[in-house]
Amino acid sequence: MVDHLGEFEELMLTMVAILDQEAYGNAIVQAVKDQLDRNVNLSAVHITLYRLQDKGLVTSEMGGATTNRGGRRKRFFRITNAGKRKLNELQEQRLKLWKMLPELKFVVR
Amino acid sequence: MNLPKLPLRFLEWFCPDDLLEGILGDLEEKFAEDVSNRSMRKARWHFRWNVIRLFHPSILFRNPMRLSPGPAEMVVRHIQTTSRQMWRNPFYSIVTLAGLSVTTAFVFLTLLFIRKEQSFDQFHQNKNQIFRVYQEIKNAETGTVIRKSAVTPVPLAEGLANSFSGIQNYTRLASSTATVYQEAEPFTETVHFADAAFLDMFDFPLLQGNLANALTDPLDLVLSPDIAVKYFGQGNPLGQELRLTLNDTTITTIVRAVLDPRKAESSIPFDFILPIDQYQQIVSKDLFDSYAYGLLENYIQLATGIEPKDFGKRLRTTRILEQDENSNQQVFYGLQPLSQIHLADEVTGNALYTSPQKLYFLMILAILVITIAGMNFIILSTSQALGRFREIGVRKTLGAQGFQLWWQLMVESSFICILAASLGVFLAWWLTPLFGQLTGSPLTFQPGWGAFGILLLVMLLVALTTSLLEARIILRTRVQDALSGKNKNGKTRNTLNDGFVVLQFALSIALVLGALTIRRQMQYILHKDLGFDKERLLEIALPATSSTDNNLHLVKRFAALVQKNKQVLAVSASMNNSSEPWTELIFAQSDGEKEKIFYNQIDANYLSTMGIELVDGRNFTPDGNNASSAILVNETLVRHFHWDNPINKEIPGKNFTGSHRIIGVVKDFHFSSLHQQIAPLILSLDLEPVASGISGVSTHVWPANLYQILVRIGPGDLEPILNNLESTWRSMVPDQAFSYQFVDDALKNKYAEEARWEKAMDWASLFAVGIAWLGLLSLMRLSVRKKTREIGIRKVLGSSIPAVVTLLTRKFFWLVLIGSLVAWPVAWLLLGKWLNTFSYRIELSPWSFVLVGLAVLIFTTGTIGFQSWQASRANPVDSLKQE
Repeated sequence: MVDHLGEFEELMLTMVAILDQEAYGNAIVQAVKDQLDRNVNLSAVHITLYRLQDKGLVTSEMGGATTNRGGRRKRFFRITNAGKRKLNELQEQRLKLWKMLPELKFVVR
Repeated sequence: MNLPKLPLRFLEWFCPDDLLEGILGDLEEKFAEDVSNRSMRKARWHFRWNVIRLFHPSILFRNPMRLSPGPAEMVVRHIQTTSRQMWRNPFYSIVTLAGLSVTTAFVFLTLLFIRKEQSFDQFHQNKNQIFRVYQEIKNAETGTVIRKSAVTPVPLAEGLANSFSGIQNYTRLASSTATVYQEAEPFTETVHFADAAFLDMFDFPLLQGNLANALTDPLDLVLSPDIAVKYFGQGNPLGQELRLTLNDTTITTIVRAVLDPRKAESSIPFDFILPIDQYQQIVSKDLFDSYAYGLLENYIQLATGIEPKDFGKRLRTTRILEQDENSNQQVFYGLQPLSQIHLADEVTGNALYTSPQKLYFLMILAILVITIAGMNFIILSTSQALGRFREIGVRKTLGAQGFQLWWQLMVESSFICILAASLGVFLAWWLTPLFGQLTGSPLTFQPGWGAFGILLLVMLLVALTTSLLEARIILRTRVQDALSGKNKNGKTRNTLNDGFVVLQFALSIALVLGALTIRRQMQYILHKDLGFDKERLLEIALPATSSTDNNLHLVKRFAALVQKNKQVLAVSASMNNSSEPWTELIFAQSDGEKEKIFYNQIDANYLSTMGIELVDGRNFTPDGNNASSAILVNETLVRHFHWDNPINKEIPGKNFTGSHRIIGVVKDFHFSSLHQQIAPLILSLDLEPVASGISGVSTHVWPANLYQILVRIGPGDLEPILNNLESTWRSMVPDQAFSYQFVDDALKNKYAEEARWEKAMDWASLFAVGIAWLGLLSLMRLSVRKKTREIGIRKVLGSSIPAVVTLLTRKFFWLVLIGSLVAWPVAWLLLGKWLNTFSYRIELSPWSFVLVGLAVLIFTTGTIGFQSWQASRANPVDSLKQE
């Protein structure tokens, strides 16, 4: 199994899964901004996506011709089965830990 | 879209092609968005920032499959290959690096030393307008130069200033010893005398006081900071009084200024400066005004706009003196630029100088050493290239062109050279103090950019030569041969290598011979029989009073007192001492010629105290009944005048009035440097017998008087006898320091410079030979290793170990022989030339040449014999398995 994922990697992996067919650099940046109100750098997104690709969690392929970006095609990322498994596993691990927590009470001091 | 050009191109350069489209598309999309949502400026900034963020290993390392990497990347790869190569062959790497870096250190230090010597006197602002005047005496008929000296008469500069326009300023500079008192305690010090203009012309930094009125009053005094501290401690010396005695006049001077003499970079190392008028306390008024006596240095400063060349011409063509009608000698004056006096040994004065020959010598040595190290590097690298034919073959098959192969080799060699050079500079920094000691002038490690520039240039040159030679071999090799690991076209390389090896042997032999000869000559000089007994002989400086009678009286009283001690064998007195050049008298002849004869004033016990033999006639008698006309001469003088019977003869001279008679002849003894022949010499009890014939003097010591007490001490402890002498001295002359020297020490000091250079030469040759050997050793190792297979096969076929050893050794035997044949004549010639600068010298013996050659031969054959013996002892099975 692939090794540990960093926070940003996990975020990217999740985003790719959410955006499904439409996951390319700018879309991910936009989605993170919309959903989490967080600014992420486009270059960092790209670098991380290629790393995830190396780990086999996502794949990528070029889309069709475009008109609005100098005619350049988009590179779309898709989550692989390994990627999905990884997400599941992460979720389970978190739940397991969550259950081990004593009930959270916010105490006013 | 107006994407910023430069970042765009940068991105296109480093980004892998397959990723570029997606990335650039995204960036451009974002750019357009930014332009509409924010501003063009912001958008451009975002774009730049994103490109920089993308310049990231995880993008860059997606580049591996490119077939034509950029030049910078290629350099990195080549360096990688080189380091791998170096790790794989630690022996050769260490030899190469050590050789080159030690050489760099040596060359670097040499450059530092040369630069330091060249920097002397360069801090004076007017250095190009200040000149030292020198005197040149020529024979009018033949035009040959009789004498050149920068020690010139006192009135010269003033006379020039009066008769020539264009001299802005002038100063005279004289020096003498004086007794300086701190409270009542006397110290003997060297003092200088100068005109007030000295302070204007030269730019010695003023530390305290005011230059405007210093040296204008006869009692003004200028000090160096060291002396200021010595006499006044940390207090303010300005306006303080300092008492000093010049000859027998005591004056109380007032400190006006403290001036930094910058001794490390100045040829004029002063401690005390007095006004020039006080010099009349040292020399008499008529000497001070005379053109006949060379006593001090004259410096002039030309007005700005005066061309020194033109002035020099005017100076040469103008008669300054009324010349003697009968004299066939002509006096000319010339100018030496201040900035050059430190490295001029042809015309010297009192200023410090370094012989430029030494600099040349060092430079030649540096060039030799770097040649040897460079050759080592070349030989080793090219031999190493042999082992890499396979790699080269692969590269060639993959389409590497000649230029690319050369470039690879160039990068490799430059890398090694520059690595070695960096190590070398570090080593140089570390060795600076030691080198300073060896050359006798303290060095500070402050290399200029020039030194680094030269270093880099030399290293690149070595790298270039190496890589070109390697490339030549490699390009000549056919790919098939290269891939099968064979080197069929090795013929040229071998001749070239053999040439280098012969040269290395030759250089080693020549250097060893040089070092040995110089050492033998120095030993010869230091132990030569001087014609007098220099052991346990003491010289005590007498007070410089003006009367001979006073001093003679003092010597007699002193002798009577100290000779109560049985350990004192004899006491005498003399005008000249053992460490300085003796007085030279000039006697005009009736034919216009001038005879120059050395002179020493002595007392009647001189010969017996010094241990000088009398060969003819009689000596002075100690009882005081000596004829006032009596003089002694040495054998050389007798030979000089071709006399058969010198007794009762007179020295020929125009102005002699029958005032003297030769009463005896002493055996020749060495009173000047062993560089010079023993010259004619007159000894007398005072100057009177020969005074009438003198037409000139050249000396450090004048007027004639007794200035030294000589004490011969018998065997036994020196300590008590020295204490005895000192207490006697103090009771007799309380206001004069007891300053003494042992004659053998003084003589050793006289040749200290030579001895130091001998040591430096020893080290340098040892070092050069070491470097050469390092190279030869590794080459021999390599050549034996190359033949491992051959040895194996020979053994399998029944060859014996001695036969194999002989086979491998034979070639080196011939190389050493050829090397010797090259080295011998060159060394013979050069060493002969050097020895010729000594009047007393050893003979070069052919045997020593043969012996050194033989030693090298034995060492070489021994080394290679041992290595091939080792190789041949190995089991053939192992060695044949090698490939």
